Amino acid sequence: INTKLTRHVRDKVVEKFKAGTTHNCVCVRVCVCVCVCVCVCVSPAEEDQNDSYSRLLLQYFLAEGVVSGHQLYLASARDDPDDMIQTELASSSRFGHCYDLSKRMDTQMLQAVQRHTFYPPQEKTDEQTSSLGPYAGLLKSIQTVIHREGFDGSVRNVLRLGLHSLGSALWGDDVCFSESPASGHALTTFLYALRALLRSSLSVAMVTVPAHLIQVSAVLGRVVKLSDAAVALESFSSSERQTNPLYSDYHGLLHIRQVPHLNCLMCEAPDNKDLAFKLRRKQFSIEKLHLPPDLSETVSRVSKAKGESPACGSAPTGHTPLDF
Amino acid sequence: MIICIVFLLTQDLQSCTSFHTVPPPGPCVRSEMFPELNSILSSSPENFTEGEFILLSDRQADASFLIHHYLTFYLRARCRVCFLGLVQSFSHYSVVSQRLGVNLTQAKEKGQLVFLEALKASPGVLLGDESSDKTAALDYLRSPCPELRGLYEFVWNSLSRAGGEDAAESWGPPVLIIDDLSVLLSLGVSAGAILDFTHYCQATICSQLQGSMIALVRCDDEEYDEDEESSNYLLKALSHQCSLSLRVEGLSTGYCRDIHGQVEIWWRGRGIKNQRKIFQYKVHDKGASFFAPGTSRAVL
Repeated sequence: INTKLTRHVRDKVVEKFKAGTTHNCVCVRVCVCVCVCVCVCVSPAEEDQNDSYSRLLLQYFLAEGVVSGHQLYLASARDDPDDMIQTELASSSRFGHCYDLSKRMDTQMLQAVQRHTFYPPQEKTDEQTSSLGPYAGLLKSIQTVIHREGFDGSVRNVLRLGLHSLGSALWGDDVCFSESPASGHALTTFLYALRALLRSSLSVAMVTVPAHLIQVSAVLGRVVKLSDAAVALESFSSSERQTNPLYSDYHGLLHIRQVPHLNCLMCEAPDNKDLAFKLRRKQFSIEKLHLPPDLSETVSRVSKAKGESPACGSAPTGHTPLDF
Repeated sequence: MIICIVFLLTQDLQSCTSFHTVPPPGPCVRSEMFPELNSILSSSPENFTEGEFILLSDRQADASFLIHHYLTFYLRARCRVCFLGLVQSFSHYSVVSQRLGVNLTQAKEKGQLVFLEALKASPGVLLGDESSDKTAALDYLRSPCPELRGLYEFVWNSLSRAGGEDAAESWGPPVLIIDDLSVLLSLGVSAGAILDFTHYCQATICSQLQGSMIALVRCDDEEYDEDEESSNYLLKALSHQCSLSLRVEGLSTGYCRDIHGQVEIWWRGRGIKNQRKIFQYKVHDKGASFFAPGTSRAVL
């Protein structure tokens, strides 16, 4: 009975949110089609370098959406979202879900995708009267798309939202260059409202935030807590860690700040949270830095050696794990 | 004895740990989802202290499992519960409570549970939609000056009616559960306004109505204590107001899959009643187990 039940439970667990951290490819496969808000924060380092890593993860996320037939919504203040979609990653395997960084996606495949974009320079700005500050237009646009396309009721498809570099000055937010910003709560209020929209629709959002620019220390913690899942990328490029031999194989560390547990008390916890990433020519790979602590509730430590002989020195008589 | 050995040899998976907490056979099986916690706090749905202000807080961990515990605990105790759902939707709590053996939808229909779906109503209020919720309970979302008077009045109206118009069901003492208070700081409400709100709630619910109040505050290490708008400041001030404090923290040695963290329980009484104890915990699919530090089954 036990083996059948554990296999069933294991399969059920595997179906849940799984970020592939294997050696081969990064499969950001979001299996929970209800509402998960993923936030990628970037830690202190040079902006361009870091922004390109988080932008890359955003592209993986959207490429997965194209391959799965989802609708896309992309908002960016810096780069034209239409251009960003044109430069999507090609899938490198017959079954999709693994992507090749050196190739671009087939234009035919891209044209088949239904997409919505938001580019502030092309949007008309209304008076900023609410506590949403510069993000009021973005929230209104997202709410309109969700309602118009029917993601909050009739449609059985997923809307993937990619929101690039929220909090940066290009959005009109001064949280990145002022210690006491005028729109101090605009970003967190927006994320709160976004969470609410996602909870009542079949959509999932991935947000990138340039954490290294944010001047108010409390904001980052609040941003993480407002997300369901949060990941921080820390690049080695301009820090002293670059010379540490332990990290010589990698470009940076990937910290898991928050693991989602929607609709359950506790989800499958990862083995360990110390991961490092490396940008190779064809893929962005994430690897475990070390093995987890050698603890287990199932390893039987109460193993008695058979016979009277001591555990070490003489020929082993039992098969205890301590024998050597 | 034989049963224990079979379970030890089973492949360990986080979500099949219902085998680890083998409940004793008997009619009270379903109520013992947090058995160790109930015995540590010397309370049960049949017998608990009234007039308590319980403060839950977390740092580098997630104390929301305690919110689920208290919600199901007081509903089982047949108390009238007002739940302010500021960070999750009703369906999330409903699904988890189902696993813990309590039906939230039924409780809402019977009038035992009043649930404020604040999260889902917020985009409409923030964008000033025509069809949005116009109640004063969500006034903290309306600028220019977000405040909590409307929210307090909502709580008062939900809990002050003793028994309600339908005298067929008479419920126990009223209970207010807030999940969570620190999100109000993210929405621009000042710490002072939050403290006023909790003070008013405590005065009416705990002292006047002899009910209980449970609030969760989530903190960070990165915030400076001196900053008067930080969660740390809010936590310090609330610690003085509360009668029981449960502080959940991650382990100082780092992340571990088998021991999720530690809880410091502080009974804030006078003299010998004022005591603190620390336990380590692990959250399962259907509850959480608490044990003295260093005695986790994974370690022994």
